[in-house]
Amino acid sequence: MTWIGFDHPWVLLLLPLALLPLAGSPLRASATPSEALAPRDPLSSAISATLKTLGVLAIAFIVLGLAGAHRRDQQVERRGVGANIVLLIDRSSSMDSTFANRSPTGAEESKSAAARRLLTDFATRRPADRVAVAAFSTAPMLVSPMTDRHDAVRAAIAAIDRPGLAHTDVGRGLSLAFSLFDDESTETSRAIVMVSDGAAVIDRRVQDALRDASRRNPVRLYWLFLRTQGARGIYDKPPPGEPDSPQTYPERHLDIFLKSLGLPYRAFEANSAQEVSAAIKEIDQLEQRPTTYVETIPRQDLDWVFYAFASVALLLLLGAKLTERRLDETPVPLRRDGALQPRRAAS
Amino acid sequence: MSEAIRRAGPPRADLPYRLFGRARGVAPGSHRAVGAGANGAFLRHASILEIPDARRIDMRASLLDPLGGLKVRRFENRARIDVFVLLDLSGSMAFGRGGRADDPVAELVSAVAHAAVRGQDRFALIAAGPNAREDLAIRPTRRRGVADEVWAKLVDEVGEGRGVASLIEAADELPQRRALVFVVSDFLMLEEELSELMGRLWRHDVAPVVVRSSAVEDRLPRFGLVETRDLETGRRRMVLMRKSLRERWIAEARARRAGLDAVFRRYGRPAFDLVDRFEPDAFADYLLSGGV
Repeated sequence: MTWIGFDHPWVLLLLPLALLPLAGSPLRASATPSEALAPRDPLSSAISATLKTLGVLAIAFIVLGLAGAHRRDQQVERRGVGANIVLLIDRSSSMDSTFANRSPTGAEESKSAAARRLLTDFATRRPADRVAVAAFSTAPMLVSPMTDRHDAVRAAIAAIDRPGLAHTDVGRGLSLAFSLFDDESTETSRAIVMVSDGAAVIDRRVQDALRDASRRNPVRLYWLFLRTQGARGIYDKPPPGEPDSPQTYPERHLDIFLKSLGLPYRAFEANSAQEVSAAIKEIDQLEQRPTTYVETIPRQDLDWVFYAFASVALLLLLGAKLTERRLDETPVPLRRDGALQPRRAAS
Repeated sequence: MSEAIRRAGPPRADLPYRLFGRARGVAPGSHRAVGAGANGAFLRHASILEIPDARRIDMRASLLDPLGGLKVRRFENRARIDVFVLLDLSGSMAFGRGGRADDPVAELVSAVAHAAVRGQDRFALIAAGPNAREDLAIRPTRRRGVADEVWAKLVDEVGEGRGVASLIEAADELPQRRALVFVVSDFLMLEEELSELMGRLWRHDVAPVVVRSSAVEDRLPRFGLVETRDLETGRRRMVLMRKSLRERWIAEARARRAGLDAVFRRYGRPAFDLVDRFEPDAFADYLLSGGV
């Protein structure tokens, strides 16, 4: 009985009162010369036992209700098909413009709005996932830790199309994402989905830290690159003669760096919302692994259930009380001429 | 209940009770007794050689005697009897009594007392339930006020306790001489107990009076939950009164009454039913007809 709890356990001291109906009866008794007068009747015995039981139950349920019975919150370990996913989302101000690098209008949504919509669908489609949400711009921001509460996840994703900040610090964002996997997430099902519309130079020291983290924490890495029209893509090589430096081609060099981590890695380059959607679907299909996750079932008040049961029992008892009849002990009155007055039996 | 009624009870009538069989005893009274005497109703002739009583020579019978003997008339002895009431005061007798101005049991017993004294007989009362009630016992008496005394004693005495053991014992307190015994009880006892009681009363003329109440026989509710409380054991039982059960209940009551009658007929006369109230006319009718 560990699953049931009480707000006021001392009220349970009243529980012996439930034995009272065994001693008494709801009905007023009619005296009879002998109990042998009434014929043996199994139905009546059954009703009698039922009424006693109802009385016991009514009092017991009321006491349980008064004691504030509730089901305790529980941790249920569940198995599902999904993954432990960290959504790492770029919050730089360029995310607020459309794929065509314009201010969003009614017809064209911004990149962040598209990402929000598609990621929300993604999270909704995958109920068995544990998801953490982190954002990065000038500095990495933890939005929501690794959780299986999808309401929280949806709220965290809904927050990513707020107006963004200036810069894009991919490296520290990634190291935050690596740190978000906890012990509960099984190793085989860890994934980072990075959504960004640009890249930046990663500091040497941060690069070292990321290499270190990727050794200790092998994950699968997805980079969803929202390419703005006219911007450089991941696979754009510099024309001959131009220096191939991370400063000029940050996307290409980030891609090279991520490949060099030795993790299962895929990059998706999306030029429009449709392409983003296709990429997310692909990630969806790739991240189908058995996971165990702990679901917390919240506390549930049971007092109303007990009150309902008690009411039913009391209603039945009331019905029994309303059908109560007594033997009419007063003698038949005499008529004036002395004959017995026939009187209807009390019914 | 006014004080006058409480003291004296309702007006009483004479009851034409008779003793079945011949009474024994020497005290003169109104009942046919064993033995022949010099007064009363003609019984038979006897030879003057047996009874040298010249004043009662029957001339006609003597002349008609072919042997020429002198015949003397003999007459029935008439003796008084003792009229006993053996009253059951166990708890079950309390049903429908108590605080009533027309308590049927008290009325019946005081009517018997009145009639006995008026009929030159002696009245006596033995009351017992589970325990003997010596405080209520009345030795055979011819006191004039005994009827009122009986009424005053019994009107508040509704009975209590469980069982009739002492009632059966009390049957042994009756005198050896044949008496008329009214056994007033509801007879809600085991058949062995009833046989034992009637067996112990074999010497006497027993007139059973079955105290019944229509409340537990005919005037039952038609439908509903009835919780009964046994007046003797205090045990409660719930019954769902309905058409079938009501019919069964009434049928069982009739069967019980018929079973009682079978026992009573085996030991003497059938019983008088004291249902709800005492009606002197019905009782007189019963006494005259012998309950048939």
